[in-house]
Amino acid sequence: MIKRILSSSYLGILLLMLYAPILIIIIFSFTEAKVLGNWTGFSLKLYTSIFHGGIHHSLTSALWNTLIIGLIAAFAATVLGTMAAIGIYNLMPRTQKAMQMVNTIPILNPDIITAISLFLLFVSLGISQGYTTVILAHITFCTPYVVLSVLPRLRRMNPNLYEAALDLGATPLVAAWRILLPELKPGMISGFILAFTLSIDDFVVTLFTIGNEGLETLSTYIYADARRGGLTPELRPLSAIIFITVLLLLLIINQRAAKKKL
Amino acid sequence: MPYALFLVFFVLVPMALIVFYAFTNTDGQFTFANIQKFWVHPEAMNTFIYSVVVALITTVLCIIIGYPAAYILSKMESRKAKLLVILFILPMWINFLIRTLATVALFDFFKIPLGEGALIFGMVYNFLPFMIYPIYNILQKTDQSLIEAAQDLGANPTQVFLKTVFPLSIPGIASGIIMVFMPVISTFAIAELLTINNIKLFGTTLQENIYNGTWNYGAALSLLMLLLIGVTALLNRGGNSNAAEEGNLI
Amino acid sequence: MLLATVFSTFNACKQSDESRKKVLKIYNWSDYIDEDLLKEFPVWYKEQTGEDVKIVYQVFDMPEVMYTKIAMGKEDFDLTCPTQYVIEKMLKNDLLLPIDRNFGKTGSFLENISPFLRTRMDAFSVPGKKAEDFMVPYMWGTSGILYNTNKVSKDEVQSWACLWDPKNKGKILMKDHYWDVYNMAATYGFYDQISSGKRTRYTVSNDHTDADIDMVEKQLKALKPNLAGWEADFGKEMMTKGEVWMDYAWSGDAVWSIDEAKKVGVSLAYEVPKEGSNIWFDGWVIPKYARNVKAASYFLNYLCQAKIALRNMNISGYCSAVATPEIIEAQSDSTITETSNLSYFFGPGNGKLHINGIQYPDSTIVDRCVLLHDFMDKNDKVLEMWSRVKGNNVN
Repeated sequence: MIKRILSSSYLGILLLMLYAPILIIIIFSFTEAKVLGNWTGFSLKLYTSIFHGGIHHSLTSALWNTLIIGLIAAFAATVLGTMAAIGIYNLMPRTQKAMQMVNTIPILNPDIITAISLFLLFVSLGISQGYTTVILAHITFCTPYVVLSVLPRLRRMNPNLYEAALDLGATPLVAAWRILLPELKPGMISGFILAFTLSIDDFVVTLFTIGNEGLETLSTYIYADARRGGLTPELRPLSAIIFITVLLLLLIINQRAAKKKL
Repeated sequence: MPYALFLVFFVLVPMALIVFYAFTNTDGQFTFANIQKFWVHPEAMNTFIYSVVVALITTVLCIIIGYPAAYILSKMESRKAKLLVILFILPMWINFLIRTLATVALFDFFKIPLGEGALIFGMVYNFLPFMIYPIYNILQKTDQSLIEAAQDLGANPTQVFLKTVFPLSIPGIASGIIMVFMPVISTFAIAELLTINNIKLFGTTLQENIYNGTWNYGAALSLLMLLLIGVTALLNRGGNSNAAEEGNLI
Repeated sequence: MLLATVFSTFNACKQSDESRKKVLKIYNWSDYIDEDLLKEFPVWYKEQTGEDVKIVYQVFDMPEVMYTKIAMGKEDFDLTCPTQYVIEKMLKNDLLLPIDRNFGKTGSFLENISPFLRTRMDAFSVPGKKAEDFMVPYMWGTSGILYNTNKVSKDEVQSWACLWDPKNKGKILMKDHYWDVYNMAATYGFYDQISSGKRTRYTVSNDHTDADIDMVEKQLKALKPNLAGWEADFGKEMMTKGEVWMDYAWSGDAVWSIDEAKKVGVSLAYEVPKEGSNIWFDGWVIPKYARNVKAASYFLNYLCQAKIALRNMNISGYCSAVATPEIIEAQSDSTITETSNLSYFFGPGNGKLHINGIQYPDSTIVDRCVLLHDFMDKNDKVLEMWSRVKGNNVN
């Protein structure tokens, strides 16, 4: 009993600390002050002005771009990463180690180095930058994380299941689909979520690969504004909205899952 | 393997470019001067060591705080646990800059001065989910039968944990360390905001060099960092596979 | 092979030369222009020249990123707006194209720029390239001290010495920007030589001799213990919250901060100390790889009209380089009791204007401000000094 209470409260305190800054963002989304931390009276004005950006430098288009890039990059990274994990798993131990080391390089590299090196790469190849280069760049640094998520799952999996399926007459493709994928699914999902999270938050790599067609993601938008006039106040309600939306979605999904089980 | 091709192209080639820059000076001539500069300048070295220390502290703290959390989560009912894990990751979806600024505001609110403590707090805050996640994943997949076997053999709960569960979870900890240690050294925004630029981390040094045009030096610095990574990764790999083998032998 | 197909299809989608000529790519700071103008310009351009143009607008957060993208990335922006010392570097490194002043029936509005800035601009000319042909000043201002009037008196901030004064310890912010800080430290350190006439403010800040660099280092190391920290963009916010009492600020930022602080009951003001400071300006330039020089030049012409300049001033809060009578009328404020001598900027007869003294500094202030040049080959040395000053966290 005590153990239960202790553990729940431990988690509770952690979550509280983790969410404290978020609470601050939400509370201060209800005031017009330009500076986070100043309170100039209750107001909902920021909520309405989120959607008022011009065509060119607009918060909503930046947000939209961020989501699209994030989803595509995460999806591609998951597919690529899973394939890679399976591939690596089947290699000889020595090659395996080498591959893993190379795989880990993007994770360990400071992001500014990854950014500059990719920038130079695209420049020297004469590829004009924009959506494609950003997505490629994001895939580059997201895939290793997927590999890291899926590989342990592969290791823990009972290899005999796959063999058994083959013995029973399934083609490798069917065996993979029916046996491997369900086993790996949790790893793939967590890899996807991780990749998406990393992609939407990324700044430096995006900065150096967005080219010159006016493409913006949420991060580049925010940082550009921060240098000039302080952090865009509209960010606070935007973050609050995103947060609450995702939270609600989660709860709903959870409820659905619960009903299913019953 | 298509991934190998991809990796070669997108990772190794850019890296080669970095190496190229590191060993050339502004006129494009081959030189060791950039590497020398690092050894000759105590500040860069000191910043580096300091950053490593900060990273170590952060990583250790993340493990100490994160492991119990992951453990508790792994013991909970699957549905609830999944929800909570997502809750741990959710803050990451709020943009990094605004989160850090909110942390600054938080500190202001409680009248705690910014500085080293704030820096560590900010780092742990930012990277804790990266530690909890892999550990949770591993713990969750731990074969129940192994635990039951240990219990059948007469081990008490502590022994079960220390000798069975913990060693099996080490790969998870290893993943966590990889995702926390090096990024801490290279993150510059947190140090900038939470210490009003009084404390300089290596990431800031790198960023300054690139932004101010001294690319060659910056490239050399990052190469050195990579060397360090390479060394730690090799050690890690070695330790990793041993632990995994032991785990399977039980 | 998959990658190869991806790349080739992608390159095929690259804009053809023909359509690129109809696009104007602008690369600017955030919040630095009235974005409605971006919609109105194509209409104006069509009227003036009969040609179509579409604007692609991109923002950068730091001029260094902009420089990198253009110098190393050969990005084909048509227009960008760097600070004057970056313009200098770009001009010296052959990264700029001259502005085409042939505006046909439209006529040129470029002469609306204050002669004051146009003469000062000349300091950046290189042999064979007159600066005026390559840049059009956009916004300008001074650098000085933004201070909290309740905690620090106006008298105190007449000298930079207040930053070194231990009574203000821990309540001072300095910009994490070595150009401005170098100028401040040099001007302060060599003030006795300046006031006795041995050296001018200009040489003190722009010679960059080893002795100068050493003096700056000495001053900064003495300053450092007194500081709360070095800020890059969040200084104004901390000032409005009253957490620090003094901050090195640019005049445009000061105006923003004073307004914002008023809303939360904090009273701020701005001064340029007697030892001297610097005048900065941002200017529009056409980078080397631009593909639509004609539209770019016309855009600059467009911006120099008084009413357009006023709109940009209102949006950005900074002070425009345009100096026509319309501006004087619009910006004069009879509620301001003090007058400022702005004949140097607007022309003779403007010795007593009721106008915001921060945006439009009185001639006495301008007399003690200099234009800063890029450090050029001394850059490495200065950077090394800078990193010694910023420290290694051990002391």
